[in-house]
This record gives sequence, C-alpha cells and structure tokens, in this order.
Amino acid sequence: MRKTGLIYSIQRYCIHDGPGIRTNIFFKGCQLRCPWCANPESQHKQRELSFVSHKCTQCGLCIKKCPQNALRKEKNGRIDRKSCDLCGLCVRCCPSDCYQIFGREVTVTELLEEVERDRPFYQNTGGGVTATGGEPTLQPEFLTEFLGACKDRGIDTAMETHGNAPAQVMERLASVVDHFLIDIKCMDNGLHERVIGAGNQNTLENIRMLAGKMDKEVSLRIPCIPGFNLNEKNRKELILFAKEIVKTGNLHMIHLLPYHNLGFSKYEALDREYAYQNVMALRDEELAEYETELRNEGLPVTIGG
Amino acid sequence: MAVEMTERCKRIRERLVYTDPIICPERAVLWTESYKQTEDQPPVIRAAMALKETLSKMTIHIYEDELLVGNQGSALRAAPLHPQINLWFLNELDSFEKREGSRFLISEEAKEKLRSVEEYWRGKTVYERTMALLPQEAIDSMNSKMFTCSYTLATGTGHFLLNFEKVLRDGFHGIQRECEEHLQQLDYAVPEDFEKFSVYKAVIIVCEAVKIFAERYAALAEEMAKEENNVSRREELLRIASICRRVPYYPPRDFYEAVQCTWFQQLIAQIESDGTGLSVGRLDYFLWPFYKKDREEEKLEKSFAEELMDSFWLKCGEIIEVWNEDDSRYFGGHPISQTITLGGTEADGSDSVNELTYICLDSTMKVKLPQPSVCVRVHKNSDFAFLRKCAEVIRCGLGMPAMYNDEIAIPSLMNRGVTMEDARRNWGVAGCVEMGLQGQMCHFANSGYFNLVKCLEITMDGGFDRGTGKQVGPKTKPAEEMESYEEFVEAFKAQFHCAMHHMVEIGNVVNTMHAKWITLPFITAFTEDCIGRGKEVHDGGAKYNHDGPQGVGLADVADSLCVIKKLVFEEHAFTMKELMEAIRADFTGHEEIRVQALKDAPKYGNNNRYVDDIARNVLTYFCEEVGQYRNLRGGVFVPGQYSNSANVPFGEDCGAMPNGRKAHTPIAEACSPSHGAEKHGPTQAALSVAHLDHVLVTNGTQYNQKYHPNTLKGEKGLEALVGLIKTFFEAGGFHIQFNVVSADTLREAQKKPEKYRDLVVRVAGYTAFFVDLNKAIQDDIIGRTEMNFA
Repeated sequence: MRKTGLIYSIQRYCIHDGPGIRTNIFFKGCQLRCPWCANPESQHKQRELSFVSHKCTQCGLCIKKCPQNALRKEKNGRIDRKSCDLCGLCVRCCPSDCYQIFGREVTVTELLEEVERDRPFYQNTGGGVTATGGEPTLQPEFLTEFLGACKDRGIDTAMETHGNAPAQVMERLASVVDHFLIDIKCMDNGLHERVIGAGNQNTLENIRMLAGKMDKEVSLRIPCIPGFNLNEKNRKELILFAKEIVKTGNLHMIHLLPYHNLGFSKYEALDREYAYQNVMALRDEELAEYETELRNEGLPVTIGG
Repeated sequence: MAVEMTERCKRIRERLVYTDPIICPERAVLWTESYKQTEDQPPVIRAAMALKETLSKMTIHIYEDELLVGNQGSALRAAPLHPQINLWFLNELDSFEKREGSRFLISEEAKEKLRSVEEYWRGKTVYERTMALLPQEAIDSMNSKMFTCSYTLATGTGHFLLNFEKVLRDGFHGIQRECEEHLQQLDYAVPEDFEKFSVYKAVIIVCEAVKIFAERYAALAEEMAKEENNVSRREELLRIASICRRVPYYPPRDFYEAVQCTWFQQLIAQIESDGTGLSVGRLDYFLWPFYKKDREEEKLEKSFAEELMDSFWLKCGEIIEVWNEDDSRYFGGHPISQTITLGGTEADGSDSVNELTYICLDSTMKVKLPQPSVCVRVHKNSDFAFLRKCAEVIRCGLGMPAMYNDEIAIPSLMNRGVTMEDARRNWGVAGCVEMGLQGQMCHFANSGYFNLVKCLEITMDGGFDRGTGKQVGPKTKPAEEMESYEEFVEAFKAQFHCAMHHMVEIGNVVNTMHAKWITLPFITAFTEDCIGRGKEVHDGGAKYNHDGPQGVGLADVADSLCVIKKLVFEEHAFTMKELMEAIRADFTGHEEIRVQALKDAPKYGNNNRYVDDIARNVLTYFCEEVGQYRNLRGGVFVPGQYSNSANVPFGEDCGAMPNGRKAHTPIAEACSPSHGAEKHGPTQAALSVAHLDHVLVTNGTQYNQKYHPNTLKGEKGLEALVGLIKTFFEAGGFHIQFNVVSADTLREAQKKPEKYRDLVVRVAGYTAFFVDLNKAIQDDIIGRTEMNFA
C-alpha cells in the first residue's frame, strides 16, 4: 500500500464544495486535459516549479543560489526547466515568495493533523473535508485510507471528481465519502473523448451506480464552457440524464459553473500555453436561462459551487 | 423590511453626502465670550454658563424634510473647534484646505474669528497646562515615539455612553429637581459639601440651557409652519414644535418624542465636549419600551418607526469633528466613532434582541454612511436568524456591524470591578472597540498608544533611542551581548515598564487638567452617580472610571521574539550580533538572514502554538503592566489592543525588525498577523487571534478580516460567515469585523502587494491569493467587484 499521497494545496474556509465551512485538499495529477482547466498545477503527477514574475524585485538572490544554474536573469522564461532539478532553494531564498513548488508528499497522519486544525469550524457549520484536485481517485488507496480516517473521527467528507474511475474504486470510496461532486463536461461521448482525452461513459455509469444503487448523495458539476457545451443538444441530453438520476437515485444538486479565466496567471507561472487565453469569462447572468430551463424540468439547480 | 429609505430620507442623505466639510468658528467664539464674563466663577459653573451661552445663541436650523431636528454647527457639516483644550488649529488655519486627506474648507472670516480667541486662551489650555507640569523624562520618553498621548493632549475625553434611559425617564426637569433637593441639604460649613454646591448649580444651569435650546427649535418650527404652504409639511413642523416644547426637558410620552429626546441629548453632548467616541450605545434596548407600547396601542406604524430610525442614522451622520493634521495620520478619515451597540442581554443574561434591533440593522444597510458605527453584541444564546441578519448587513460591504463577544466582555469588565448585572445590562462599545458602561462610566479610552515595535527597537539598543539620540529607558545590555532569550525578554519588559510609567504620568496630569479646567456639567447631569456624589464626571463622579492605553504592533513583536528564541538561541542559525548587524543595515547585504527570519521561524496568524504562545505572553504581560495603575478618579487603567490607523505612522518610526520586516514599513494593525505572515487562510488566523487572552484586554481588542464578495455569496456565504463568527467567539475572540473589499482596496492591493498577501479571491474550483494574479486578471476582478457593488 502507498504510504503517502501527493497533494499540491490545502485551502481553508471553502464554502462551495460541500456543506458548511470546508477544508479542501487538492490532490495532484489528472489524466484528463480539459483545455479550459483553471488549475494547470493540478494536472501533472510530478512536482513542478512555478514563478510569478510580477512579484519579482530582481534582487538576484535566487540566481546566485541556484546550484544548477537553471535560473536566468530575465523575468520572462526565468526557469530553464531542463536544468532545474526541483531542489527548492529558490523557493526558500526568495524574499518576495515568487517561487512555489506544486506537489508534496504527505502521510495520512500529516494530512489529518492539517484537517483537525479546522475542526471547530466544521462543528458550527456542518462542514468537513473535501478531496479535490487534480483527480483524487488517481490515488485510491491513500484517498480511501485518509477519508476513512476522517470518518472515524466524525469528520464529514466530500469528494470532487471527474468520475472517470473504475467502478470498484468508486464503490470502495462510497463507504468513506458523504457527498460526491461529479463533473459532467459534456454528454456527447465522441466530443468528450476528442477534446478531453477520454470518454464520459464511465463517469455516467458511476453516477448511476452511486446515486442509484448505492443511494449516495451526488451533486453534478457542470462547467459551462463557451463554444463547447452550451448548445441546445447538450442541454437536452443533460436534462434527460439528470431526470433519470432524480427518478432512480439521490441527486442532490446541479451546479452550473460559469467559465472563468482566472487560471491564466498560473499557466504563465508554469510556462505553459493556455488554450482559452482569449475566451471571455461568463457572468452568472448569462446562465440564468439555462438555470431556468433545468428548474422548469423540476431539477435542483444553482449557479456556482 | 423596507429595502429602501423613503424619498425624504434619500434627499437628506444626498444633501449630506454632497456637502463639503467646513470649519465653523461659532462655538469657539461663543465659548470664549462666555469665559471672558465668568472669571470669578468656579470652573464647572463656567463650563455650564458657556454651554448655556452657546445653546442660546448658536445658529439653529431645521433643514428641509427633517423629522428629527438639532444641528451641531452653523451650517451642515460645519466642524466646531475647542480652544479650551488645545490651540493647534491656529497653526493650521491656512492648511485646512490644502490637506491631502481629511480636508476642510474655511473662509477668511472664520480664520479671523478663530485667531481672535487666541488672546484669551493662550496659556490656559489643557495642553499648555499639562506640558508645564510634565517631568522631562516623560517628555523624552514620549519624544522617542515609544508611545503617543497626542489624542488626550489635543482633544476632549469623548468615549461616554450617555445615560439616555435616565433622561427618557425623568427628563432634565427631573434632574434639575434632584439637584435642587440636594442643594437644600448642603451646608457651606461642611467641608465635603463645599464643592458640591458648584456642581449642583452647574447642572441646574445646564438643565435650563437644554430647555432653552429645544424651545428655540420649537419656536423656529412654529414660525416655519406659518410660512409653509404644503399642508403635510406644515403638520410635520407643528408636530416637531410640540415635541421640542416637551423633550428633553420633560420626559417623552411616545416613540417619536423618545427618538427626538435621544438625539438632543447626543447632540448637546457633542457640542459640550470635544473628543470622539461619544456613543449612543444600546439604542434598540432603551428605546424598545416606547416602541413596544406605541405598537401595542396601535399608535405607531412600523414604516414610520423605520423612517425615524433612518432619520436618526442620518442625524448621527451629520456630526463632524476636525483633527489636527498629525492626528489625522493616526485616525485616517476623521472618524468620530459615534457607536451604536445592538443586541446583547438583559441584566439577568437573557437575550435582548427585539423587533427594533432588526429595524436598526436595516437602517444601517439602507443609510450606508460611515457614521454611526454599528456594533452587535453576541452571546452564547444568540439565535441563528439574528446572526444571519447581521451577516447580511456585513455583506453589503460597509464593514458593519462589527461583532462583539459578550462571553469575553462581561467577565473582562467584572475582572476590573464591574458588577455582573451592570456588565450584562450596560456594556456597550464606547468609540472604536472599548468596553464602556452605558450611563455609568467616565472613560479616558485613548489615554495613549504604545508602539510595541519601537519599544523592542529601544530594547535592542539597551534603552537608547537612535531617533532622538537620547537614553530614554533604563540601561539594559545591548542585544549583541545578550546570552539568552529570557534575558532579552526581561530587558524588553524593563524598557516597557519604564515607558508605561511615563505614559501614566502624562495621563494623570492630563486628566487632572481636564477635571480642573474643562469639566463637563452636561454629561455630569445624568451620569450615574455624579448627582448622588455631587461630583463632576471628570472628578470621580461616575460609578466606574477607566483609563485605557493601547498596544500596537503585537504581531511584529511576537514574530521578532520568536526569531530570537528559535533561530538565535535554540537553533543557532545566526548569532545575536549577526542579527543586529543585519537589522542595522536594513538587511542590505544580509539577505540570507532575512530569508531565515522570514521563513524558518513560525509566524503569528497561522495557528502555530510556539509563536502564538509568545504573542499571548507578550499581551498578558502588557495587560499586567497597564492594569497595576490606578487613575485619579478612583478607577483603574485598562489595556487595549487596537491601532486605528496608527500602525502606518508607527511603522515609519521604526527600523528593521528581527522578524524580517524592513525599516519604516507599516507594522501589524491591532491583533492582526504581521503583513504577509498569514499563510493558512482566515480560519487559522482567527484561531491564532482567539488564542490571545482577550478577557484581560478590557479596553478592547480589534481584529479585521478581508473578504472578496464572492466568499459571502448566497445563503451558504451567509451561513459560513455566521459559523466563522461563532467559532471565533467560542475559541475566545472578542471582536471581529469584516471588510468586504471594495474595488479601491483591490487597486491598493495591486500597488502594494506586500500589504495584502492574505487577500484571497475565491471562485468555485479555483483558488488564489489576489496578489499572485497577474495584472490583467487583477483588473478583471476589480471590474467585476465594481459591478457587484454598483
């Protein structure tokens, strides 16, 4: 069994990913490549160094310290990623916190300690811990053990997932997850496969299994992406699917998540291209009609997390 | 609830917001004229006569649309000056209009009039009388900028929570009768009685003055009614006239009269006394019986009650004071801290929230002015619906209401000798965050501000101040020579002890001068137990008497001590000598030490016990030092931990610090973590703050959190905010206030990212600190924030 998990961030006072005040654990690594992804640092399974250039005062300390001579003087293209061995000296010596390494190994005990620190807030709000990412189900043993330990301590658990995991993994997780938040990127299997790199059949089946047969509380997260899934056909199919789940299972809520481009800075910091760089963010109002459509079908729906 | 003000109130608000503040010479001139005529009288009678002269002759207005009447200055937003305390304004007459912030217009005529009062007051002000008496060591200590007493040296006491209940019950007529009865019992042959004669006589003069003042409004209203063509306005004016014939001299008979009575009392206190923090206190509690009775008897429409409360809020918004330019740095935006405290408990501890409480919260939300400042008392039985309502108001982005924890305040006051019943029933916020007692306390709440960071700097230099080049404290070992952490802490304590002693010296002299030469016969008239004791309120008449100095910069001190403890003496990462060299060079050429200081020692604000214990110990020590002093009125000194905007000028006065802070940058505000130290988000910072022993800090602690509006969106946003407040309070916090950031704040954060390291922007599925975003994205968020607040 794996002794450690790879996470890249812990965020506190999260209120959009399950009930109450929650502590979000961001797991690193995801096998899908949604081109609009707002968290590029979550995708790779390897540790990664980022550099936020506008905070740099060009004090030169990092360049002097770097044992691999992997840092250039210029702010643009600062890191020579071929030479960098992620030793972290630049992160440590930068007084302006320009550098950050995404990805750290944690044990279940360490992670529990982090989560316990917010316990008083869970108690007053019905909150708890939310495993998100990246894709938490890529680290099934660690995740099950961690969430199981949370349950043993009476901490509420939620998991945000793209749902594309083997049914046995989901089945096992169902015993330690109180609230499932599962993404449906689009209903068309072909399009899903073409754009994202995998089909959606697995996800839809898992939703059927969890919400239906296993009677777990499932919420659907619908990223609303201009030019991808906002067409009528997709909406109709989604409604059909959601109505099926409502009829046979425990569908808690449908979240329509308006596309935003806030992740752009992070692509820059990782020296990566953002395919959605020029796509305008959606305002909540632009989804009002979509929301009404779902509501008129008797579906539980809200805009935002 | 009415979601909007009535058209009338909107017009009043418009008028107020679009009037530029000006300087008003009228009060200064009338006050001076009176003082010239009363040289042969004792001070308390002179003050009473000056108030009477002012209330009889000052310009009065009933502005269009008003339901409540009573103005402070000769024109709307005209700020009075108080020459009896300090003549600072004579040096600034030509710069009022040139100020960058807190700007005031002033006419040449006004300047002339103000210059004319100098001749009489020169040599007689509280400031001059105080400076003449101060020991040189105290002045040196103050000049080193370890503390400032600029507030008490420049302004009046302020910080009273007036006894509205007594006036609502007895009227000033009743108070006058009480004094007359006392006078009959007095005997000039009894030494103890001698001074009481003057006090009672002064209060009687004040009661008459109040009657004259209100009747002037009645006469004006009657006159205006005659000229008024609009029938409904004419009726309103006649109603105003009849109310002003009655209150506050006679007690009110209905809710409308009670509200007008309360306003007159609040206004006259503002005219009599300089000084901020003259607070309304528990408005929803003491007006409740009038509201309840009128509603039960079906004499009062709820909508009219709402309009009256909105009017009261607008009236409070009119009050204006002018600060000198230097103090404007410490108190940015000329705050008046006219505070209203809602919620709380009865004397038996049961919840006292009522329908009027909700109306008051709505008024806050509708009127949207910086004044009055609104606070809420929360206790363990406060219900969710009420807290949710508060969260709704907070979400509007006014930074109000500020939330206060009864479970800390009540034991805190009891720890300073207040009875449980008084604490439960009468505690309210006096000014910023200070715990006051309504109608029972004389509170020099701003007796000094301590720059704890400067004190640490002077400790490092063995009591020597590099700024003034003087030895300002005891000669302790310079930091380089110290051999243990304990030794450093002892030296810090020795320096603080000495500075605190000097501050108390100054405080006591100032207070004596106020008691002797200023006197407040109006506030004396109703403050418990001034009439019973026959003593003026500055002179020990009040039932409770507190003096409060504040500490500023706790987080920087705790973080610095932590670096010394952990990195110098435990881990030997560098020596004390190396650290001192780095600090004196502002870390230039010593960047590695700075990096170690910043990153290898835990920082207060992350729920880390090692450094949080240091912070707690420093604060506890501060409280013990302050708490051992008695004041002249038979009360005690009580410690506070808040900064207003003093953390910025205080920072300018300080060099680099062991925690890695660069020279002359701002120090931490109030109880907040130092800039950039908070790395684990709002929940962990709140738990660090709650770890301090707030019960000891009877002059109040202050803790601000900043949120982007997205965090508070929807029903979940409200519930989570309530949860956060409850959890913070259960963990032991006293005060928490939320800045829902405006677009302006975000722009500021763009310019000064180091100050806004902790500002989180949250969108579902996305997580980032605002300062980590690039400019284009930041601009985008600013644009959206503006839309949210439009």
